[in-house]
Amino acid sequence: MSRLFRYLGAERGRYLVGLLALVVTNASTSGIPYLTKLAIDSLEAAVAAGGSFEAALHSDPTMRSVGWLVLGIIGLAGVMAFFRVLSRICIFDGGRRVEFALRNDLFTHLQSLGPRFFGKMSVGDLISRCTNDIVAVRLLGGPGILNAANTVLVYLAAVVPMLLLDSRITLLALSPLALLFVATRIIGPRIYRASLRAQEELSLLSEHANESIAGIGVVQAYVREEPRQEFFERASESYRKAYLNWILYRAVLLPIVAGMGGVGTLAIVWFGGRGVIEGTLGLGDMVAFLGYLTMLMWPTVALGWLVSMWQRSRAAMERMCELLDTVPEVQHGQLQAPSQALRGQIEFRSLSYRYSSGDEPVLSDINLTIEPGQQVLVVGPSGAGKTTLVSLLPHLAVVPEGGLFIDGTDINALPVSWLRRQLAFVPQEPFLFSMSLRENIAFGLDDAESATIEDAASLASLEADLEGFASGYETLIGERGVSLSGGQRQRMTIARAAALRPRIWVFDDCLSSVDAGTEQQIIRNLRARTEESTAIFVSHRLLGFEAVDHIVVLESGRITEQGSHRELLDNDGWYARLYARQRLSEELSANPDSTGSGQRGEP
Amino acid sequence: MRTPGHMVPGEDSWKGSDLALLGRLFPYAKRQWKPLLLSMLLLPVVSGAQLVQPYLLKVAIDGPIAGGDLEGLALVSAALLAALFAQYLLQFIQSYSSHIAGQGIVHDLRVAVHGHLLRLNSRFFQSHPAGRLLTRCTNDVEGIGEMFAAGFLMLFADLLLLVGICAAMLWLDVRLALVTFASLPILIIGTGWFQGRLRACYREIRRRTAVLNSYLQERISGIRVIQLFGREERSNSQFRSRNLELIEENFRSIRLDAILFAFVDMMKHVVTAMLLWYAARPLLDPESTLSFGVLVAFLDYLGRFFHPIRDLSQKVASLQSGLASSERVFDLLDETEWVSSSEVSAEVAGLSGAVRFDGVHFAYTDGEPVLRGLSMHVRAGEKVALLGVTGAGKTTALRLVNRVYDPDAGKVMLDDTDVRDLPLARLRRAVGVVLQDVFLFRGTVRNNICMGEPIADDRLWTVLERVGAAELVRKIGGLDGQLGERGYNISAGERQLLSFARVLAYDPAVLLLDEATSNVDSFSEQKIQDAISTSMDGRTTIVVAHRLSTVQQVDRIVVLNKGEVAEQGSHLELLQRQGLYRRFYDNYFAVSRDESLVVPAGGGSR
Repeated sequence: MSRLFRYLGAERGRYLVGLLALVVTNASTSGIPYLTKLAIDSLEAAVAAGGSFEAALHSDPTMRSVGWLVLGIIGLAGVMAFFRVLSRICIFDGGRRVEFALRNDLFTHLQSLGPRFFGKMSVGDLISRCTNDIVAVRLLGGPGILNAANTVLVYLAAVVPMLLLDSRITLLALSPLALLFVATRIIGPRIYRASLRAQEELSLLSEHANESIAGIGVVQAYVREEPRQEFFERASESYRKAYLNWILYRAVLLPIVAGMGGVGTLAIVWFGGRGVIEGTLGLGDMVAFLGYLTMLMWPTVALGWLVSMWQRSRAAMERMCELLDTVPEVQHGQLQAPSQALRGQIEFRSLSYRYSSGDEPVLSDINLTIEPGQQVLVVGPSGAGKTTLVSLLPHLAVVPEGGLFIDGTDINALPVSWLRRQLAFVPQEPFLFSMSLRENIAFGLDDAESATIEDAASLASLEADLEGFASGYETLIGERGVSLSGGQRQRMTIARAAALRPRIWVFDDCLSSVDAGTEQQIIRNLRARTEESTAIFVSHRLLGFEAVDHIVVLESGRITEQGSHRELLDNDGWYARLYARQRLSEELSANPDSTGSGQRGEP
Repeated sequence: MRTPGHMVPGEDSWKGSDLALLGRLFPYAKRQWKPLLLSMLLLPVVSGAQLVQPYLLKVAIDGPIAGGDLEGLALVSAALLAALFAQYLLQFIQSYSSHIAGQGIVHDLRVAVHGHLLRLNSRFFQSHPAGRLLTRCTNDVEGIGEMFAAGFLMLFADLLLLVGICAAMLWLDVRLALVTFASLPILIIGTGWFQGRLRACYREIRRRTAVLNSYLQERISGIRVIQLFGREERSNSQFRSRNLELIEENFRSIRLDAILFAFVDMMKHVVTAMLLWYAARPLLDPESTLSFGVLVAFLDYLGRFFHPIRDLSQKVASLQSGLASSERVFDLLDETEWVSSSEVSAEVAGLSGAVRFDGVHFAYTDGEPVLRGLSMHVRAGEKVALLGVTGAGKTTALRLVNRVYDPDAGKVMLDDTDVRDLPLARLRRAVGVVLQDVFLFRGTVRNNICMGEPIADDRLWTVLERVGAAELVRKIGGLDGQLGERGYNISAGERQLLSFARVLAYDPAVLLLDEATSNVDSFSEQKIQDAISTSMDGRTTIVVAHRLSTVQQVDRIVVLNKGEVAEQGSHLELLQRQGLYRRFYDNYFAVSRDESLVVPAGGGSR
């Protein structure tokens, strides 16, 4: 919880001003009834003196004082209004600022977390924590603090004169409040747990809703609207139950706490009444006691509300701390950013890799050296670990110490941002942001010149597509703009990478949705431009890559073959078989007479 | 398709009144009539139990205490205890039942919104950010529930109290009551003005919240790209600026709300002062009936009169926030961009699976046509490959068959029936699609393949064997093995295999394949193509192909260009025609012939 206090503490100046303003507000609130009482006393005196209103107005000084008191009330009301506005603005702003800071910190922290974390958490859950849970903390920082301060002030204002009047009866009247602590102890943790559960259910619910929206295409294509809806309905139902469970505890706590105040009144009527009858207590004192207790009624109710709110915010903060306390897997390297640019030498040294300790290794004993300017093709069956292997290069996931060296330095010692600025990784799945095409291509640059962007677009063979859009580079894509085809999206991601002019290129099977002609065109472009850069291609298609410097075959996480195209053909292993098959397919297409028969005969 | 005659509002374009909005909420409230009614009935009882307590105190002081009657004091104390007990017990029941009602309404609305979303078409989802839609499903409906549980019922209670106090004031002294009421116009104009501004403010807050959340959602989804390009800093600053916009609007609402609160409070004291001054004349007039007792009582009531009005402004604020939410929720529920099942559903027995495009025109955006009069016929059981450059309209053509979209002009027909006349469920069961993007849900393998349909395990295993995914499934824990969100724990190729299994498990009459085999390595691809060619015997198949190896397996090739059929025929016929296909084909081989780029394969015949 220290974290929660740290956020609240950051706004202490604002809260302090708010509290002072609250003191003034409360003081003027109690001043007005006093002025009213004085005015009535004056009126009473004027009535006792007799005479008409006009006469009294001109002659009677008490009547004139009524006038002054009336003006005083209005003036005091003005002062009160001013300070009330001030206190509310200060304190509620404080709550909002806490929310603001917390949300920024959450987002910043999320950006530093790695794929392992995002694999475990769903987008819906994360969003729920960044939106719904934050509300609970904001309510504590705003109305919560206001009510807490108010309660303390009113208690001070009431209990001090009560104690002065009669300490025994005061203690009797306030003794039920001891029960408050018992109730808080018993119900408090339940409220905490119930509210934690409700927030978790809400997360689950938004996860379902998010998935329905993201997967709408599949849901509709399979006519799964009804089961999906039933599924959602069940999730909504269980959230409703969890929420009502929380409300139940809260609904129990509030009357119990408020009831304490009522029992206090009862104590005064019974014990005080007996005191009056027995002559140990004056009637006026008893009436005054009752008056003070009435003052305490609302703050006591607020107390119950505060207990429940406190528990709820604690639960919410706990869920956010789960995010904030997740240590980024990839720590920034110790070394200063080298002044010279990356050369592009890559070396894997007996690297083994597993997603989490205890899992089967995804990569075992990888030994591979790639010299600057070399071009390497990585191939292998689905699930062999190709993507995992190349994903280590941009250091998105934790790389075992001593397993991977860039330019002769352990990747763990290199500054991550320095590395990523010079290494372009084009992922399998083309994720674009809903902004203009230009902004998407320039995504990795601080300020991009048009020439750079156009150059990148032409490398990815995007010119023709761009001409097809009315607004060209300024065309918005995604949810608010045009939708691109799979191939166009893949080429956009290539252009985005090309704009970086990187020293190391990594292409993770990113041409799969591009038609064959365009694919060959892009590969040609790339090979022409990436001469001085190191390039690693992951591909399922072998044709067109025959001239690369080195080919690596990965099977079940191990390098089973490596060498040049020719060496691998001679080796007659997986590569040679696959190459022969792909080659055969093409040749069969060229000689259509034999289509079919040759295709099936393959082992 | 938009249904004419229906209101189709965009963002925040609701023109109806608050009353109309409440009218639309009424059916949802009606379903919760029991807890709502209970809550409403209990409200005056709770107030009664509350109001009787000061009276009992007065009785205690004037009676037993003054008279020294201990027994009477015990009796009054017991009555007070009873009143206290009743108040808090009933208060508990009242507040709990109001929340039952509120959550019931939230649940119903949320399910309605979700169900509605499921019926909307792709065009809608393209123009509406997912993050905003998510907000409708969660925060907005929550706001409406809050409005019912806290706003409405309390408002009702306050109004009751106000009417009672007005009556009491009029009964005490008509003149003083009229002086008090004279403040009402200022009060009403003042609060009305503030509330108008507040409402606009709340609407803006909702909008900015939605903007922030959809940014958040997109950035979380694309986190990998952000990290790859080292754009965390810029993302942070963009997020901050959106967050700042939100908090600034929130500051505005805090100021408006604080001033409104203080304004009503101040009015109370000003009216008190006015009353004191005004009361002086009749008090000094010996003929008048106004006594000090009445004045004191009146001032007491005055305090109680403004309290509900002040709260009223807060409750109205929460009501307005709720109404702003309702606007957005109903805007969404009014959205009619859905693929609607035809009312007159054509009678269809077994579908043989012939597909015909008849002069089909289609554009995603006006003025940028994708299909321009596409006409083609695929016979039942025939396998056709669609070929063409990116943007030729291949994928779009497929999307019209299972009605992801409907054509702007022309017809798409299945077995000589316009697909729009077929019951949607029937159509989509008959047409299996392997989509370009494989979408897997968080959950078990079984759920992802069966998609809620009861399919026997042996059958599932057979299908998995056929597509070569059985080994993978065993590796991740069998049919009950868990897949992460979007299947993050398996590779892209493996996701493809599962999506194939998903289609084959349904055994459709027409199969639409969209570039789906491209992510799978050639060995797996071979397995799938073998599986498809055996299981697709007698079944219509349309393939969007980028690989000539795929093209070889089909009966006919249709080359699309600029949304029209450029040429069609068998591989051989098209090669001989020296047309687009020929150029496409040559282009494909051009690189392989380029000696500078390709080291000729050792055993190659070329």
